Amino acid sequence: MRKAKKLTKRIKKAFELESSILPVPPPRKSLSSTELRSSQRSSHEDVSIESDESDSARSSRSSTKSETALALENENLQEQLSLMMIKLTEKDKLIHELDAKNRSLDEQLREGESTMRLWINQLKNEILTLKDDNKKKETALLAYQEQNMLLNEEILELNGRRKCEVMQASFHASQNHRKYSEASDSSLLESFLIEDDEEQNTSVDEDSEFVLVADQEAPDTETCVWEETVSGIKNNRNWPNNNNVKLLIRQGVPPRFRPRIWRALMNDQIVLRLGLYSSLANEPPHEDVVKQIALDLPRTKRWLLNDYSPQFREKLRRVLWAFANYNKEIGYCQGLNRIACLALEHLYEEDAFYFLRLVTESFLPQDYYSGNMCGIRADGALISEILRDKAPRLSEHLRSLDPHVDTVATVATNWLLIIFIDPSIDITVTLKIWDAFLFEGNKVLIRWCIAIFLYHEDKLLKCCDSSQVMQTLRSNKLLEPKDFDRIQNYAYNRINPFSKNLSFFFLIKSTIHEKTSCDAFLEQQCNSMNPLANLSAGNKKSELDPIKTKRQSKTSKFRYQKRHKPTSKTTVRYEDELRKLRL
Amino acid sequence: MSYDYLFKIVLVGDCGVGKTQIRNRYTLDEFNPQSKSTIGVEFAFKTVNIDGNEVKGQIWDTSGEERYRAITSAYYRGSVGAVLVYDVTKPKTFEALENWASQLRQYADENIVVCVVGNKIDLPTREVSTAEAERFARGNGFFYMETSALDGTGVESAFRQVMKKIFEIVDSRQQARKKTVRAGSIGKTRSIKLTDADDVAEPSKFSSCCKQM
Repeated sequence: MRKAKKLTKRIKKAFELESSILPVPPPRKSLSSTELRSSQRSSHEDVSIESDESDSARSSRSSTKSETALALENENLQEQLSLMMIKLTEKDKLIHELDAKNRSLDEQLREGESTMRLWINQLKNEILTLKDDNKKKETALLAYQEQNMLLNEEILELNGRRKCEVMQASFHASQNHRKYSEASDSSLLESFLIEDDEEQNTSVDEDSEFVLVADQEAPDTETCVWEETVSGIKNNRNWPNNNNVKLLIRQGVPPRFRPRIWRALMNDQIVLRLGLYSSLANEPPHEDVVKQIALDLPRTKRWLLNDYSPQFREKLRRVLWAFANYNKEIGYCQGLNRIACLALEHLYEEDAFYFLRLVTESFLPQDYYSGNMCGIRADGALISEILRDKAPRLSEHLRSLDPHVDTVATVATNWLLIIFIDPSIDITVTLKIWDAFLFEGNKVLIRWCIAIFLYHEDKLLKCCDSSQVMQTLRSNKLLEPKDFDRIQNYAYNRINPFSKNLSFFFLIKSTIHEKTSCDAFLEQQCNSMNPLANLSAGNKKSELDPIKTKRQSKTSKFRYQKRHKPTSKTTVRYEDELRKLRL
Repeated sequence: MSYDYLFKIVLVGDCGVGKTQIRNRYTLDEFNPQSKSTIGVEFAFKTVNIDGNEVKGQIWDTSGEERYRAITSAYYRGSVGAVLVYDVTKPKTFEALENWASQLRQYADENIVVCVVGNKIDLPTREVSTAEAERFARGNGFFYMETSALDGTGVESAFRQVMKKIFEIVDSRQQARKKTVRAGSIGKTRSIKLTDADDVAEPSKFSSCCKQM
């Protein structure tokens, strides 16, 4: 269309130009020329006739002359007119022709446009179909990746098992060999085994030796034990009741088995959903959450390696974003960055997200990181109460040093907020606590909090003001690897039985929880007048993932009861918890 | 190490304004650009000499995150001084001071000595003027200081001012108490108080106890 317009414009211009260039003789000029000619002629005649003719004759002549001149002029003009007419008709023709051309060009253009449009539409359709294909392929890819991961794990597990079997076989074989040489009455089967061994002596021996050298003697049994544990956790749904596994894990999982044990513990608890993570990780959460995460990313320390590359930071950000998008009730809370960091050091990125979910949603009690943190405050107060029962002297001493603040609850809350991931605690100890926490749940954390106080009881009793207490409990060498055995003895043995009146504690906890949540509610009511407070309040948990974890469903029932039953029946509610806590 | 007084001072303010850096600059004289975020509360101590008295400052460096206020507000109890920090390059952190001040009024001692501190004055992108901050501080009965934890400007004097003011209050009360003791109206000698209900320090008991160690 534009082209057509341009064309018509051009044609118009051409016309104007033509008209300006074409010699359209101005009528005046022609007139003047005839006048000139006539005047010349008259002058000649004047010269010849002037002498012998009279004035009258002269006048009559001049009138006839002027008439002829006018006639001539007229003729001239008519000629010009006809010429102009011809020109005009020619121009008209030209215009018509050009117009026709223009129209045809316009039509051509329109045709071209329509064909272009068709083409574009086709291309668009093609792009859409390609996109669809791409999506399908992406999901397929994710599925393959998942499968690959699982298969890899299986391979690892099988390899481990094979290794164990080879070792055991070689061990038996060597014993048999000894027997064979000592006493000749060995069975036929054994002799076959030995013969086989001897046959392959030169070729296989090097191989098995290589295995033995690589793993050495001591880790052999360890490998066997932990391989068994991994497969045990994976296959046995009743693992929390397995006392042997519990005792084993309390001693800490060897670092090389930790990722697999953690994943095995996770798999049993949470249903992974394909594509959920990638969709959540790339969508920015609430503006304030984005800001807070950005503020905390450079302030998150890596605990195992010094390398804190931009790629790792990016991973951490994605995990935190995904979690904030998934759990809108918690969103982001300082402390989650440390847990996510710890998870990322052991698990794949996507697993780290599920790990974070699992920890916050099913391992920790309700409201640990959300709302007004009633859960964590209640736990802090509970620890303070238990310590009062376990070490009345210490508890009284600490209270006397600072009558305003419950020191035990303050310090315990700080440990719980970061689940012992702190520079004051050696990371190897932290990880061992985490192993037990993932296997047994929240009660492990309470045990450890109390154990640390008991372990430092003598030092704390010597403190004569609250600053010294804080110095002792927040020092950089609060928990060192060498202390682990002794403190874990406190945590798992010496504080048992937790209390004769454990139910009393849970009654206390429930009342504390109810009180704190009531206080929190009142606070919220006050703060609702205040626009700055409680930015995250009111956000309900998103319904993105309908599949809930096993424990979560339990706790949600529990929550329901809690909200609707009167306080007098709290003891009944905590029967479940009680059973869990009893060893 | 013996001392005559123990003052609890809380360090509050929004996330990322540099509370921990100020604390580290004051107690350790160091600035670590790769610090980690404070979760819950951290502690630091420093003893200074005021008018011939050894005064130990117990600094409670609290977490600035909104959600933690439910926990950190419990720490304000028993504190006799507060350092209210904001970032001079971020007006939002200055606006939040109102909220922090009301938290302090709600939970801390009513005669608490509060110092408003504008931190990061070494940065060229300043957005909150000194006059504005001073007006806010005066309006609330606080006093105002400016600091840079990076180069150390003002940090020492801010804490010193807080401790000095607390000391003045405590000292005047002690003088008044001595008179009343002499008059025989109070039979038992108790510790110094900012208000009638709160004990600040028991100088004789602490120093003797610590000397024994």
